[in-house]
Amino acid sequence: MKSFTKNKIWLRTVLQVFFFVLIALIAINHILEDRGMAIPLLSNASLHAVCPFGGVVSLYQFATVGTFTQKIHQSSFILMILVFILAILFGSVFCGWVCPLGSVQEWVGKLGKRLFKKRYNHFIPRRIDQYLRYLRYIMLAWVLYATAMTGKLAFGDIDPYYALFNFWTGDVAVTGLIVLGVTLLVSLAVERPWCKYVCPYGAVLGIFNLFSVFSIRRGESTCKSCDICTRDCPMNIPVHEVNVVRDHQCIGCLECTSEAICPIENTVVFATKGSR
Amino acid sequence: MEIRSKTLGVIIVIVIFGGIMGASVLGLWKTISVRNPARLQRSESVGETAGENAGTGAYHPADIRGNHQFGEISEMFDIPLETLSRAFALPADVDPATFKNQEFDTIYPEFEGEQEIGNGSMKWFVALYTSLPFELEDDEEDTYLLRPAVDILKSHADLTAEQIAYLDAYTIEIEVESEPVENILPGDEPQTSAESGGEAEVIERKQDEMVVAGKTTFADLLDWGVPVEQIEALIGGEIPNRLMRVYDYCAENGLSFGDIKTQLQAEVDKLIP
Repeated sequence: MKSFTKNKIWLRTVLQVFFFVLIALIAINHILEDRGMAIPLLSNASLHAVCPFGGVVSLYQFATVGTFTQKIHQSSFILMILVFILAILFGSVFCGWVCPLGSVQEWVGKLGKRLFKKRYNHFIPRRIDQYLRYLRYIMLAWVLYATAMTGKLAFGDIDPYYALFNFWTGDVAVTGLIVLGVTLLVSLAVERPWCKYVCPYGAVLGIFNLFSVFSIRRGESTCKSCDICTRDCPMNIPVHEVNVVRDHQCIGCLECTSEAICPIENTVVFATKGSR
Repeated sequence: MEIRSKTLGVIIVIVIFGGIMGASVLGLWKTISVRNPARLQRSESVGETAGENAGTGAYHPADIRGNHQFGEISEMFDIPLETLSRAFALPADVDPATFKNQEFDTIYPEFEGEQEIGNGSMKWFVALYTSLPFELEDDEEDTYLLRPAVDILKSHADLTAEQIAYLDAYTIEIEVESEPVENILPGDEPQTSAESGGEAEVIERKQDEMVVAGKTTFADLLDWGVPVEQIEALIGGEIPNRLMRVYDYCAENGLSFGDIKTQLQAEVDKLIP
């Protein structure tokens, strides 16, 4: 048994910071480009062009008319495909390793942990929470339907991701700023509230968790059922109760694994079927 | 097979950036929309009507930046300053020689939104005026020109029928009490800034949203309240897909977008209280 101290999945933090900074710089460069002051060698694409969810909401229009939804470009489709490849292999790792909005919620949550200690991320009773988790599929259905009917980004005015990187431009709807503010505020008490309850893209990627090649697997024979993996899961998944985590909410952060929090070597791992 | 965090992190980076690089190599990575390049590119006419600018070393309209002044653009592309001033309806108290493209929003506040006059409008105007090759690109909104600019281009530039149709679709109507367009074309005595700016140039948008333009879809018309029967009567057939642009429908069916647009706008205007 290894020492009962949590090891940091440091590369995940590095990538989260990297992607956050990258997207922030691209957003800034997009504005600078309009003023003839673009930073060389850095993309000045719009945020919509580097958002893989743009590809998802454009699918219907692309299939029926052959065009993209307003403001969406071919790069969004490419990113959508790349993230789908990752999701088929590893599930929703995009959410846990790449998405800047998820990262920001996580970082705000670190402050919340200090404020609320053990109550942090456990405010909402499980019997209610388990149903709330499906709200994001309602959101997904609405976004896809509204976008398909109008050909416009129905999600745009409430998108906290867009608001996060453009709040300083005056180009963000008030509703977007409000949603971002509420998300960050709630992040103090609940880890990744937007991801858990609202995010339509997380809903899409969560489906891949049901059949991804790799998934979180628990070795029943060596597990001591200490449930620390469950307590440490940002998405409140009862890892210690299952042998394979096929939960649509898992973000593949690996924080529950023996590499991080699990005190028994090779007991909770990210692996393919048959390796346990 | 088990995978550790370091391996997973590396794979994520490789898939995302490797995929982007691969797409770039294949020419699939496009973060901006290039609209109708074949229709708008005028490379075949370079050298015929562009005068000196068409020769070796001519500036490219794509190089026009937001911080370029009208005076600089006038010199670079050999376009009379007065023509630029008139095309973009500069107010009387603005010195056209030092006015910058990035300052458009200071004189057209009412255009904020879907219809916008910006640096792309200047590139587009210069390209058509000089017949220099240029692919109209815009990553956010469609590129519009003011009515005076369109009139100048129609009178001066060698436009194709498709380009004229495009201009008609992307024109912002304004009222300008001024000299006829013919009076400000090259070869004529240019007016002074004071003369041209003395007129009260009142810029009006018909409505914030309900303007039939090139990017208007059938869904937009239906959302505005135009009956489906009325639309289908005007276009002479069933709406194939509500997400389709009216402009594209007209192009595919050999219809004049200008005519259809006018009729549809009349129907839309009936709905405006």
